[in-house]
Amino acid sequence: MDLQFFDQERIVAASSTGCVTVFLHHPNNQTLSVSQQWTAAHYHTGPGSPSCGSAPCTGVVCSNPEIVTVGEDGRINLFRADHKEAVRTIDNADSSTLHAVTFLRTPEILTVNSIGQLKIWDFRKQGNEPSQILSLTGDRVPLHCVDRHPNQQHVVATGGQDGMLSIWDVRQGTMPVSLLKAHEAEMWEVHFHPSNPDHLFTCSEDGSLWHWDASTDVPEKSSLFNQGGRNSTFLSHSISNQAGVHQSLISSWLSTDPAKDRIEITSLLPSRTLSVNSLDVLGPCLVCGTDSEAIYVTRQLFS
Amino acid sequence: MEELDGEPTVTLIPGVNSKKKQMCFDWGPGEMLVCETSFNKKEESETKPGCPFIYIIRKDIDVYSQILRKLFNESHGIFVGLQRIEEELTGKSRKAQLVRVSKNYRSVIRACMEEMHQVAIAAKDPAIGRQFSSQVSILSAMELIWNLCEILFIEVAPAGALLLHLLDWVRLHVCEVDSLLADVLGSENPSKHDSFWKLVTILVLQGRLDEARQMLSKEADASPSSAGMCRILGDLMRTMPVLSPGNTQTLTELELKWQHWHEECERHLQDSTFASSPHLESLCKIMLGDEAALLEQKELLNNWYHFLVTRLLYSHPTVKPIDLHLYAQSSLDLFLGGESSPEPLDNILLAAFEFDIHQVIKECSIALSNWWFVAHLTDLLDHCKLLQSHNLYFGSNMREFLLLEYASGLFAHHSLWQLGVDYFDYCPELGRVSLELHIERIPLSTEQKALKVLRICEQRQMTEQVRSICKILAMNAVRNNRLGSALSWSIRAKDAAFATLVSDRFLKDYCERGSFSDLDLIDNLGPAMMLSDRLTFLGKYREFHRFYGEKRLTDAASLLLSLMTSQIAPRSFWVILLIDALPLLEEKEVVFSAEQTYELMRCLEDFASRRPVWREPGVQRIQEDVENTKLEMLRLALARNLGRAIIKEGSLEGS
Repeated sequence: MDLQFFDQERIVAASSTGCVTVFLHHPNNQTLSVSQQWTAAHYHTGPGSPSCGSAPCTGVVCSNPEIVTVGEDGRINLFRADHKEAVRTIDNADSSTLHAVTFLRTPEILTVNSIGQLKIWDFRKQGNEPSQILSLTGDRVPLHCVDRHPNQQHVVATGGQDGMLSIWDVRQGTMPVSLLKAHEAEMWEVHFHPSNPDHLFTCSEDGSLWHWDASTDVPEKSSLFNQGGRNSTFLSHSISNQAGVHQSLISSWLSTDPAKDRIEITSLLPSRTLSVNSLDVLGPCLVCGTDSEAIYVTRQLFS
Repeated sequence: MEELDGEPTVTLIPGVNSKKKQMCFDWGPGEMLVCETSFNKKEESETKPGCPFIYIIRKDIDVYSQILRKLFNESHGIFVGLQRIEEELTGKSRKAQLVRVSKNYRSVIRACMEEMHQVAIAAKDPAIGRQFSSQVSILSAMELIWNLCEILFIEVAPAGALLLHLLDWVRLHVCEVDSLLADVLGSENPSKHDSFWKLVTILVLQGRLDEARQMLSKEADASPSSAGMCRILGDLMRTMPVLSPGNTQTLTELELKWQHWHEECERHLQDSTFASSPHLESLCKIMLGDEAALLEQKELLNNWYHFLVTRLLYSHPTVKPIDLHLYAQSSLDLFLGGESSPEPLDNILLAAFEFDIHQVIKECSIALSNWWFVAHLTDLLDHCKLLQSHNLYFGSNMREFLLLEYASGLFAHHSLWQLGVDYFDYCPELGRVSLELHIERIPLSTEQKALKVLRICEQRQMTEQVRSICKILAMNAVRNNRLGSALSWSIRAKDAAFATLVSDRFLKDYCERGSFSDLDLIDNLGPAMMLSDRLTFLGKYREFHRFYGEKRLTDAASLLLSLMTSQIAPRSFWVILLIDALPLLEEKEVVFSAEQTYELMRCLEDFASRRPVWREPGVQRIQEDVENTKLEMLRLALARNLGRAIIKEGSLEGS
C-alpha cells in the first residue's frame, strides 16, 4: 500500500497483509529480491478478531537507517534495517486508522488518522502518548496523506477525504494555516517537490493530478504545462494570520495574503481517468499510477 | 427454452468420484461452488469419506490473464469515451468518429496480440508457449472479424471502395508477404531466389501490382529471353483500372475501362504471348480471374476469404455489398472443395458477409470464452444504429444483456471490478440494479478499497448500500477493538444506531476500568457528537470529567445535573452519575445550590424506586447491598449539602 526508497538500492514496501518488506534492487539484471521482511508488523487483537488477524499497513517512511510504519491497527512501528524485531512499537497509538506518516525531525514523526487529527510523536520520550495533537474544529474529515516541506521542517501539507488540501505550521497552534478546496474526491497523495519546494503535487480519487505552483519570483506567471490540462488560478483562504514571523523565513505556502500571492494550479493528466492512486516526483520527472492499471511518466516537468 | 447450439463440455472435478457420489452446486456471480454430498447413487452405504474439498469452478479464466488485462483496461477507456461523445456525434463526422473508435479497439487488440506473441516466443516451457500461441490466434481471429465488421457495418463502404477496403483487410492479415519481399530483395540475385515466383504470385494475388511489376523488371533484367513477355505483363499490370480513393470517375466508367482491360488480357492469353513461361502464363490467368488458376494457388492463398477477395478483384471489382454473400458462399465452397467442413470462424465471416449481425454476434458468443468481444462490438454497432431493439426473453435488449454479462464477469476479479462499474452505468434498464447487487459483495480487504467502493455508491446515491457497507466495516472495527474507526464509519453513514453501539462500548469500558480509553477520540468529537444521544452523552460526560480535573466545579456540577435531568443518560449509568456527585457534595465549598440539590434528590429517589428487583440470590445480593450502601451515603451527603446550601443562600453573603 505504500512504497519508499530506503537508500540507493533498497526499497521498503508496505503491504495490505500487514507485512513490511525490504527489497533489494539488482541493477545488473534488473531484478528485485527480498532482503528483509517483518511479517506481522501490523495485526489486530481484539475480542472478536481471529488470532492471526492481519491489518493492512497503510504508510511507510524511511530515514536511513530507520523505517517507520503505520497501519489500520493504529500501531506505529519503528524498525531499523538489519534488526529482526521492531526497535520500538507504540501499540494503540490511535483508536482509528493511521493513514500516513512522515518524519518531522529525525526523532519526531507526524501521523494523520481517519478522525482528521495530526499527531506528533517523539521517539525520545517514553510512553504511548503523542507530544502534540492538531486538528480542525468542525467536521472531522479523515486525512489520507501528509508530506513535509523539504527545507522547512515545520511546514506540513495534508490531504483529506473531501479533497481539501491543508497546509499546517506545527509550531503555531492547532489549526491549519490554509485550507484549499481542491479535488472532488479523496486526495490520496500529496508531495512537495524535493528540490523545488514551491511546487506541490496532489492526486485524487476523482482521476486528476494537480500541480500547485506557489513560486512568486515571476511577476507574470506563464503556465508551466500545456499538456491539455485545465489551468486555473485559485485564491487561498487564510484562516490564521502570520503576524510575528520573519518575512525571510516565510515559506510561500505559509504566507497567504490573497491579494499578493496566487497559486497557479494545473492539471497534468490529459483526460479524466479512473482514480490516480499514487505519485512521486524527483527532479524533472513525475510518475503516477491510476486505477485503470496505467502508469504515466513525464520527464519534462519544468520545460 | 432454445435448443442447444452445441454440446456442452464436460469438466471433471478432481477427487470426486462422480460415478459413486453425487455432487451439489450453487451459482455465484461469476463462479460455481461444487462439492460432494453424502448421497450415494447406488444403494450401498459407503462409509469411506469422500472428497473433503469445496471446488470453485470458474468459466472465465481470461480475466486473470496478465496480458489480457491491458485489453480490458484500454477498451474500458475507449468504451467510456464512446458513451461520452455519443451526444456530440452528429451528421457527417459521426461515421468518421465511429470508424476511429473502431480502429482504436482494433489497435488495442493488435497491441495485445503483439505482446502475447513476444511472450509465446520467449516462453521456456513449450506447453505454455503453445497456450500463448493459441491465445494469439484467437486474438487474431477476433481482430479479423472486427475488421470485417468495421468495413461492412460501420464504414459501410459502397461498391468500388468496398473492394479496396477488403483488399486492405486481407493484406493486413497475411503478414508473411513483407518478410518474404525483404528476403528476396535483399538477396544478391533476386530473380534467381527460390521463392521469387512465389513472391510475385502472392503480390499479384494481393493486388499489389506495382511491386509485382518491379519484381518482373528484375526478372527482365536477369533473363533477356523473357524480357519481352515481362514487359507486356508489366504493362498489363500497370494499366489495370483501379478505383483510387480520390478519383471522381463513376462506377460505370470504371466498369467500362475494366472491361476493356480484361479483354486485352484475354487477347494476350489467346495469342499465347506467355506460352513459353508457365509462371507468367499462370499470372496472366490469375489476373483474368480464372477460378481454376486461383484454386491452384490454394497454398499461397491460405484461406477462403483471401480467395474470395482475389477473385472479386480480378472478376468483379465493382461488386456491390449486397451481392457479397453470394460470392462468399461460393468461394467458401470452392475453396474447401468438399474436403473439410467450415470452421466456426468461417461461419462467422459468412454471416458477416450476409449482413446478419445477430448471427455474427451469436456465433461469436458461442465460440469465444469471454464476453469482451461481443459486448464491445455490439455496443459499437448499437451506436451505429444498426441493431433493432428486439427484446430478449429477459427484458433488456441485446446490447444491454451482453454488457451486463461482461461487467458481471469483471466483478469476479479482485481489482477489475472498477471497470465493471462504468459498464453498469451505461446500461439504462438493469444496470443500476445489477450494480447495487454486485457492489455490496466486493470483499473489502483494506480501508482504501472500502473508500473507493463507498465513493462509487455515494456518487450514484445508493444510500442503502452505503449504509450496509459502513455497518459491515464498523462492525469489523468494533471486533478488532478499533473504536475510533468504528465511530468514523458510523459518522460517514450517518448511522445513529451504530454510533449508539460504539458509545455503549466506551461506557462499558469505563465502567469496567474506571477510566476512558481513546481519550483522543472522545475529547475531539466535534459536531459529530450530535449524531446520537448516547454519543452526546459520552462527549458531555467526558467534558464533565475535564471540568472536574480543571477544578471548574460549578460548571461540572451544572453539567452533571443537566446530564441527569435531560434523560440522555442510559439507565445503567445513573448510579455512576449519582456516585460522581458525591465528591462534589463533599467539597469544602458548597457547589450545588439548593435548587440543584432538590433536583438531585429527586433523581435519586427516581432511580431508587425504579431499580429492578433481583430475584437471584448470592452475588446479586452482595451487589445490591453495596449499592444500597452507596445510595445511603448519597442521601446523607445530599441532606448535608441541602442544609449548607440553604444556610449559604439564606445568609447575607450568599445572596
